[in-house]
Amino acid sequence: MKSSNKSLPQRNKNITVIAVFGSLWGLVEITLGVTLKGMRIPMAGAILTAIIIIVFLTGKYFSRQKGAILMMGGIAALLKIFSIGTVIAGPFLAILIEALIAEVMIIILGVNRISYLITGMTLLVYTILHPFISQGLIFGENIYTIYLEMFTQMSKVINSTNMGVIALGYVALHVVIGFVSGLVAWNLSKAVEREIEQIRKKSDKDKFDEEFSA
Amino acid sequence: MKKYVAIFFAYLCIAISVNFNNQFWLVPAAFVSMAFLNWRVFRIILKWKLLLFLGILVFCTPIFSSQKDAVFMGISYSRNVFEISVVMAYRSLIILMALKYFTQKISVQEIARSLSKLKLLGFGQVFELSLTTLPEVKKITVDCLDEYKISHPFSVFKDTFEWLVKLLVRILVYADTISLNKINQGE
Repeated sequence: MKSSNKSLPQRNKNITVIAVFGSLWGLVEITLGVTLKGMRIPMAGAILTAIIIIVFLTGKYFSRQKGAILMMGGIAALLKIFSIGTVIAGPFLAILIEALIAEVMIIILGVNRISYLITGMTLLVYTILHPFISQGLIFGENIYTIYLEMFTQMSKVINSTNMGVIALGYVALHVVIGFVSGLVAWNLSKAVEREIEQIRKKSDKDKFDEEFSA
Repeated sequence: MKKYVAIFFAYLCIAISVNFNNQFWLVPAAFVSMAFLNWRVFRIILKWKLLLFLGILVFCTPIFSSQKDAVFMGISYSRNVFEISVVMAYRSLIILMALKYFTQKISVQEIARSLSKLKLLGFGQVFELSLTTLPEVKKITVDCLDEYKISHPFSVFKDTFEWLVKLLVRILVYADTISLNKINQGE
């Protein structure tokens, strides 16, 4: 499906799907994001990202236009930045980077089950790295010197092998959540497609019956 | 370029150029000028969580550093770590102030208008459309949320999945009606 060959109805459909799913992504970020943060549950960021992955990958399934995820992310990020009366540079940046990563992954791998799983896993692993990136932007590259210093001090107290196991376990947990979210996104897209197909068939049949009876 | 955009970029430049030698005059100058521009932005830097983090960064990390090369009131600390911590703290405060100033000045509608002018891959048009669809998407989601129920404790995932299918179908049907309207209006 090349964008240059797209008919006007198809282009319109793509745009509206992007707009609607971008709004939905923004709504989830504003409502669920704030709720999860307020509840102070562990791994709230990972849980939110997993839900977001389901939203935008389903949106992508129904709008194959290149840059669709990036646009949805742009909408969600802009909605998020004005949602709370405070500086939310971190989440704004996180949404845009997540959208960019997902867009690149889908462009490279295409829209299929494998690409959905890999995208889910990559994005969840990125959530571990994101605080380091955003803090690097706000505090400067010297924050990494401080982190290195802290790590050196911690390794004197905790065995480095144990620290490695803890870190690996944490990454593995994120990979599993990412895998599940990618799988749910794919299955959900297929289920929604089937449902819409049924609605369309029913509506065509109703139209036919109406015309026939007339 | 609008005045507040120029001010925002100027503050970002100040934040990047702060070092331990120029911080004695550059940081007070930035704070005083911001007080004249919009004193309300200081609320963002008076949050206890941020101040606690900066306090730990500036006062604790030099003490717990592995290479201590200076002594203050009998407490040995790392001068290098202290200097970079101070610069980092000032840099973060200036960036947060600049971001707060910028987000207080600009509105979503203004961003939508600016994006439309830029014609950035049609993003302006999509963003404007998303602002129009947002209330309806919210309504569909809230209405659908009222219908969410778990039939059995063991079927939480199945019920949630079915509910999600229902929600997304409604949202896609809504998207379809908008695109049909757009075509009927000749875009």
